[in-house]
This record gives sequence, structure tokens and C-alpha cells, in this order.
Amino acid sequence: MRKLFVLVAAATALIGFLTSGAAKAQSVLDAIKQRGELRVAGVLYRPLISPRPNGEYVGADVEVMKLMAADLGVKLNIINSEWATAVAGIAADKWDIVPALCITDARKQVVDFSESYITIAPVFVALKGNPKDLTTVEAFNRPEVVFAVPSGSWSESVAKEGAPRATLKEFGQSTSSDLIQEVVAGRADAVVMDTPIQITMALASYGDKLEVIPGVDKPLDIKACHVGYAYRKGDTKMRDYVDGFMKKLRDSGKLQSIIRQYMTPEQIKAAG
Amino acid sequence: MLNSATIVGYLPDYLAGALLTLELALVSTSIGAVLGLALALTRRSRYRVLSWPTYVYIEFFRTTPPLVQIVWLYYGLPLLFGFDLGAFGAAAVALGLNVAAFLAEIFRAGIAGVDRTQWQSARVLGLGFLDTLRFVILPQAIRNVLPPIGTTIIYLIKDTAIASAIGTPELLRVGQLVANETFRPAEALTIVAFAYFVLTYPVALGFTTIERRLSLARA
Repeated sequence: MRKLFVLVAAATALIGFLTSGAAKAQSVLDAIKQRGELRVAGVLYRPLISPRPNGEYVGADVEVMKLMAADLGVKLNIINSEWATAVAGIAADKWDIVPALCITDARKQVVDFSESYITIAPVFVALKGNPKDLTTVEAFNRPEVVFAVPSGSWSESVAKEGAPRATLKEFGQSTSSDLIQEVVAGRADAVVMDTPIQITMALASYGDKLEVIPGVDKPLDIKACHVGYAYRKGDTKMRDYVDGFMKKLRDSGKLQSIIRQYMTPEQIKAAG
Repeated sequence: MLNSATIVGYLPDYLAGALLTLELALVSTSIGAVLGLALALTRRSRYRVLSWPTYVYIEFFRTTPPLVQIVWLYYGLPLLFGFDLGAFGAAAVALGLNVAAFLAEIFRAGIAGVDRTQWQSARVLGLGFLDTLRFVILPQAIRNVLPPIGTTIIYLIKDTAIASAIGTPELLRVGQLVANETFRPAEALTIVAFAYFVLTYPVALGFTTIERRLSLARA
């Protein structure tokens, strides 16, 4: 019993020690210039950023980060990382920027974000000329309309919110890209996909057969992911730099052309 | 249908991953063996100031998952002390500290299995503590516990896969990236499994051989 007490006390002290980590005073921007290296978390969100087995990284964000490093006059260093701990790595000073991250209120508590440079948002997809006349968002909200959704997924929550009266047919271990087969085979009426990533793939395979509602460039305003670059919270010098850089990139049209270049079926599929 | 053709182009990447796995295993086994022996001795110490911290260390590392220890070293150390081991360093040290706890208990059992009279006889012959350990106790102790040591090391080699969680480009991570790029997870991970077998089987064989030689020598 006494041993257990000592162990618990030691663990408590350790956790207290951990959570008291002091914030660093120097701006990340100065640290990057001193180091001569911009460190970016190497996560996987194709076609924005994805690691290849040989260790190199490809994607739209990689291009943007290359330009940022060149703008700062430093080297770009993409460090192998995983989503689970990517945001934590900012506080731990493992890297200066996490790319391809959905801007959420919860994350804003611990990191600051650049403006969003791309929005990943849902659309409903049905067969063209379908018998249930699914051409408007409202038309999907009927019990006789069957959505094929991966269970517990983002698609499922979008369907529940966007068409609460529709019937859900749930699938384990699959993605909306697999489930489009259900629609094509007539076993379901609709799937939820994201635009521009999944829909680009689907249109490449079944382009003329699919109806996209409200439209590829007009997604639903439900659970949209506004993607941005995350960096250390409260670092105003870094924020001013990132904001200025993104504005420059957008004003020159460079940002849009990079994203267009990578939002193709080939890049989404293999990004290699 | 398994399609091996898509995977062949990635063999150099697999090889690089397997080498890193091997390096991780070697470094962490070395840390674990040295520290584990020291812990086994302090755990047996009469002085509580030595045996108690050792007890806490062993129980802490035996009862917390290696994944947590790796993540803690990788992200916790820089936060606390501004000291960064890097992904490989954090994984190697965490696995080393972890396996040390298990090896310590195995070594302790081995040492306890050597009859007390051996210590006394060595003392009578005028051997000091370290010489007694080196020439009398350890050769017998290690022989007693070779099978569990072998098993622990094999576990460690496979546990290095946990390092993929912090992005160390070892064997499993290479396999995951290949699966991701080719959309062929079955093939990509079958190669990973085969590669782990190639890495661990010689170790298992080696331990069996040493065991057999030693038991022959004893007979």
C-alpha cells in the first residue's frame, strides 16, 4: 500500500512538472532565420502533402512551403510526423509549421492559423436522371432516399445533418469513394463526398453518370474543413509574416495555380 | 490477387527501413543490457536508497506502454528541458529504457538462481565484488536465463515498429507509405512481415545454438 502511494505521488509530481512547461519568448520567425531552416511537420493529406516511401514529400503544400523557405532565404526541412501528434509538435518546438490542417475552435486554443487556402466541404452525389429526382438538397431529405455511408464517418454526420429524414445504409471499413459503387449499382441513391478531393476522383471515373448537388464548386455549408497552416500561438511576428506571405502568394495567382495543379485525379491518387 | 510487380520498385526503400529497424534494435538492446544489469544489481542491494528507486523505475517502465514512453521522450523532453533527441534517438532511448526494466527482472532471477554458497566461496578465495560477478556469478546466471533473454530481444525487435508513430522511417512506416501510395496494403504489409521474420529468426536461432552449446558444456 505504501509503495502504491509513493508511486502515485511520483506520477502526480511528474505530470505537474510536465504541464508547467514555460512558453518561449523568442519569435519562431527569428528562430527560423537563425537556424537557417524552416521546419515543417510531414503529415499525410493527399494531394496537399504526402510522404513517399523513399522519404521525399510531394503535394501542393510542399510547393507552398518551398516558396516560403525561399522567401525567408532558408532551407526547407520536412520532418516525418503523424497526425496524432502533429499539433503537439508545435508546442514541443519540433517544427515551425503544420500544413494541411482543418481550422477548428479546439485547435485555435493551442495554435494560431494562417488564413484558409482551401476548403474541403461536402456535396451529395446521386446518379444523373435518377428516378427519385434528386436534383436539389431538399429532395434528399425524404425517408425513401437511401444514403450509403461509412459508419461513424464524417460523411455519415453530414448526411444526418443535411438530410435528417433520409435513410442511412451503413458500411464498415469503407470510404465514400468505395460506396459510389452502391449508387452506380442502384443499391443506394446517394453518397456524401468531399469537394474537391474525393469528387475529383469520382468524376474522373464516373463523370457523365453523376449528379453533384449543390455543385462541385458550391458545396454544402455543413462540417466544412477550412484548411490552413498552424504555427505557435500568440507569436505576432510569425503571424504577420505568414499573413503577408499568403497574401503575396494569393495576389500573384501562384497559390491558386499550385492548388489547381495538384487537384487532379492522378495527383490525388498517387501524388508521386 | 496479390500483385508483387507494383511492390518491386520499392525494395530499396524497404531495405533502408529494415536497416533502420536493425539499428534501432541494436542501440536499444545495448542500452537495455547495460542498464538492465545495473538495475538487477541495485534491485538486490541491501541499501534501500539503491533498491527503492530501482523498484520504482522497473515497475514504472514495465507497467506503461512503450508507445507512451516514446511519445513522452519525443515531445516531453523538448518541452521540459529544451533538449531534443530527434525521432531515432527518442525511440532508441525509450525502447532501451523499457527493455532494461524487463531485462533487469530476468537478470535478477538469473542471479538469484545461483546458489548463495557461490558468493561465499568466491569471497573466501579472495575475489572482490566485481570479480565475483564477472567470473563466478554472471556466467552461471546468464546461462540460467538465456531463453527469456532471447524472447525479450525478439519482442524488442518487433516493438521497434512502434517508432513509426513518431514518424521514424523504419520498416513498418515504409510499408505503410508504400500501401498508401500503391493502394495495395496486403502486398505492402506482407513484405513488412517477411522482413521482420528475416530480422528476428536468426536471433532466435542464435539463442538456441548458444543454449545448446552451454548445456553441452555443462554436461
